[in-house]
Amino acid sequence: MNLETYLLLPLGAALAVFFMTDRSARLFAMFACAVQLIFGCGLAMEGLSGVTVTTFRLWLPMLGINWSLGIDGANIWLVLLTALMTFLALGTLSRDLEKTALFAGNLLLLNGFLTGLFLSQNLGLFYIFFEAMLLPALLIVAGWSRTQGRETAQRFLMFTLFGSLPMLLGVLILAFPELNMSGAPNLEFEHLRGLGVSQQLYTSIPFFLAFLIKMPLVPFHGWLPPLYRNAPASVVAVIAAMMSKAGAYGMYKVGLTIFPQAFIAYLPYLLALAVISILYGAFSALGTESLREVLAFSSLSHMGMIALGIISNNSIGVAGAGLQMAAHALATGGLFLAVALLERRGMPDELRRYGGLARSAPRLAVLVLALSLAALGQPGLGSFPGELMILMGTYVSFPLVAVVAALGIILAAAYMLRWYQNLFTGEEGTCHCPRDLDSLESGLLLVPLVLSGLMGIAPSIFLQPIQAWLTGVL
Amino acid sequence: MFEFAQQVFQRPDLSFSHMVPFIAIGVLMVLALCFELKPEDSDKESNTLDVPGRPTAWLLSVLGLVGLVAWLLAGDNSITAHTFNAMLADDGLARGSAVLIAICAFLAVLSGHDELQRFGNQHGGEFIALILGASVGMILMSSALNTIVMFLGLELFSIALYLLCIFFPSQEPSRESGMKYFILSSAASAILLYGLAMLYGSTGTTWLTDLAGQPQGDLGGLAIVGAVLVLIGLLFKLAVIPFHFWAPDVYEGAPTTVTAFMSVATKVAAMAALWRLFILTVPTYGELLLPILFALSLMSMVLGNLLAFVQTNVKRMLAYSGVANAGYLLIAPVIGPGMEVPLFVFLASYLVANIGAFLALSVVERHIGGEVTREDLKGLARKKPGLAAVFALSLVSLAGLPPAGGFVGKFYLFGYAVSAGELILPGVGIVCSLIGAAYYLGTALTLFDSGSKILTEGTPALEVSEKEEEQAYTGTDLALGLCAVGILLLGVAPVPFINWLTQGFR
Repeated sequence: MNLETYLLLPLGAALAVFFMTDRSARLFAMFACAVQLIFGCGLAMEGLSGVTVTTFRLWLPMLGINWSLGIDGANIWLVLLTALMTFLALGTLSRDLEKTALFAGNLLLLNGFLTGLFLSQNLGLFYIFFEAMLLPALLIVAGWSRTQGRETAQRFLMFTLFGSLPMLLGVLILAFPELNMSGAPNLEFEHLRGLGVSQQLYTSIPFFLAFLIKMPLVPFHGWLPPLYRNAPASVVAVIAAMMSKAGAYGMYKVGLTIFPQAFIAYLPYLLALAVISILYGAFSALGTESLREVLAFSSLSHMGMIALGIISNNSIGVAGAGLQMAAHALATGGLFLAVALLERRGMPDELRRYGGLARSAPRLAVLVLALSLAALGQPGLGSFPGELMILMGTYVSFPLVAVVAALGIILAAAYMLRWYQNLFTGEEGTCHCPRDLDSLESGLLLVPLVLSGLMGIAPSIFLQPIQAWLTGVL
Repeated sequence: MFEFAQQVFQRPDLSFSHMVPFIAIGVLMVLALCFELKPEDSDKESNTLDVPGRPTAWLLSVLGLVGLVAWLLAGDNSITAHTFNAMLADDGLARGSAVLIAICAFLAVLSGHDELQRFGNQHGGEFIALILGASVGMILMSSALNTIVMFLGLELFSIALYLLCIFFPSQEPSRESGMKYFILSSAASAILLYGLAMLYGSTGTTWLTDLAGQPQGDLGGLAIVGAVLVLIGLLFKLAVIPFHFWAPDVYEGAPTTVTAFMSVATKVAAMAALWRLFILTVPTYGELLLPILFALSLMSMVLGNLLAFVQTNVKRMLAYSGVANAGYLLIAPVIGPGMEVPLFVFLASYLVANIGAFLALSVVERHIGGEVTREDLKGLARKKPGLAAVFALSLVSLAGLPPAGGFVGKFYLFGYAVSAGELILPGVGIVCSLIGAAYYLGTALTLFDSGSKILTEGTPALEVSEKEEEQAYTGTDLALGLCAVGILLLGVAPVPFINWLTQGFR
């Protein structure tokens, strides 16, 4: 099994799913994801044991775009998590969802494009997947949102394209350097390393803009609250867990390999954006009255933390950001899966209508509590080592920034616990949970939880490939 | 005496092997007309649609065009030759244009059958013959090595298009738009002809080869004015701002199949003629006119996209998007030689996407029975998922997003412009693509909108479509499917086509 087949598996399965009946579609899609996950684990094991897993095939040589895929320390966990989160998201789909086949097919397409994005070792291919993954996500948002589907999708689209179309100009400038008509264009990441400082400074701007919008950081987050509030929770689980990581991964991979000097030059601005995002997200999460917006703003806050790690200019901080990307995907993804299960029970979005769910749904309460703790950085769970490393790294470079950013963690505890209390404890709310989780549904939430626990207890397993990759880059 | 006659009536240099596109399409055109003829006594059943021979004519044209395209694509594209006493070129530019125009004609004929049925029109053979005649004119224009032949081609396809625009005269807007097109286009043709006359007056030749041989250091004022006038005539056909005023009205009024055909094929022909005249033959003129092309490209991209953005009528939106795309096309002549392959890849991706969008729109029109606004498209995906998928794919391709062909086209065109050191036009083009994405994808999202409107009120589109459910549009469906395949093929595996083109422009 090579990487090309691995990538074509979800895309091919998606095409098949489009023509299936609703009943078989969901099962087949889950099966495809499971197969993908198993093969992914095999490839990852190979990668961990030191074999370089890469594929190279000429595709559009005249444009410098080639099928250049590879597993490395930067993407190994994200690739596996993409398959896993899609699998879990498919599991939460309600049985009476309309047009399940189309939904599942689009989710598989999203999965495939995300996998391609994480795997690509060619900037042009990266760009293609960065744009392409937008389409299935938009279709799901437009077609299956609870309210305002088209408006939400359009807002998401315009925000994203505002960043990614200028990025196209950046890609073109890198592919076709002026006065170099004789040489063939080449967009391989390896080839683009070592650009001149001034070129890094001006070509990096559109890239950073695109990535900051995708993550998002304040003030580019305008698409995030409505999308997370209106779109079906199962797709939001994938978007929040993996698609937002596409932006962070762009900063991580493209930024660190191609534009290291630009990071240093734009450091004050990036630091400011990261810190503002952490605090703004945290305070907004404290203030909102919507079940999902709490998670949306908490995501914003955590993405700020990840951005801080990436720009910390310090090997501990950068490695922490790599780990935290995976940890945050598990925690936020898990929480949105829980929301999807609530949505499946027809539960509303207003926080004030909830209360005392722990009595009627104890299993859900326990799992959500654990996932919330994982999200807020409880020691022993996934986010703790990552956030600790980010703060340590930042402290070494910029002590004052680290102190302010640490406020974000304290606030995270405040808003996550407020959220949990509001849902599960206290007086009985006006809406009632019809039934607790069955064992299958508990399993769906248990998987990210267990992995998060593993990451909290033995982070070195996860850190080892990331650090190996970083020594080659930094 | 005999020697004199021999001198005057030189045996023309006719190498038919270099004229295959003309011969093939011309024969098909004649056949289509022949099959339309029917015995006098069949008048009594004239209100039935089963004109004997029409399906044969239709099938022959479709198969003939497929054969022509396949023959051209399979053939050796590196030959550069001329025929008809060096009146016609057989080179990469001519063959590339011929392929694109023949594909346009193929798609138009394939789906035109359904348009005829919709209007109960019995002149199917004429319709096919006119489309084929227009195609011959366009290919003539793009391979002309003599300005007179170029004008001949221009008039041939223009006259065919005037007739096609009013082919269903029962439609009021159709007649109006036909008249508008006739008057404006005739004026443009006259300007072009006047320019050609001035070129002749100042250089004493109508042959492009002789024009190229003229000493170009001291161009007379007359020649420059002539060149500007010729350029205006060509830009009119390209629908570049400020010569675009006819386009939205004519596109809107013409039968949608015809609009699909003319919106792309005319651009191919005019662009090829522009390229041959101003880039290949007399680059000096091209350089002089560069500022004009630069400014018009910029204006077309910006204004075309903005004007498309504010339209509510989908057909007008696509018409203005054609204006915007003409702006993108003009980037190629501004950069000059070396841009042929990007230009043709962009044209090909525009062809499949634009025709796909117009044909999908024509199906919706048939169901609604009139003009289509963006709101009418709401929820189409629920009723007709396949149609909505092709429509959306076409719009995505027009917006230039991967994995559709439009992305490769734009990347290629803008990328080679950047590599030539031009940053302003691709930069503006990309910013304009953002506006483009807003309306293209906004419309595409409307198709998939799950909004409550359809559940409660029911749009006219869906009510009518239930009535007409039994009516199958096989030809259009097939054409739409082929467009979708073309879009994906150009987006995922364009290399064979690019290699074929590169061969021709080496």
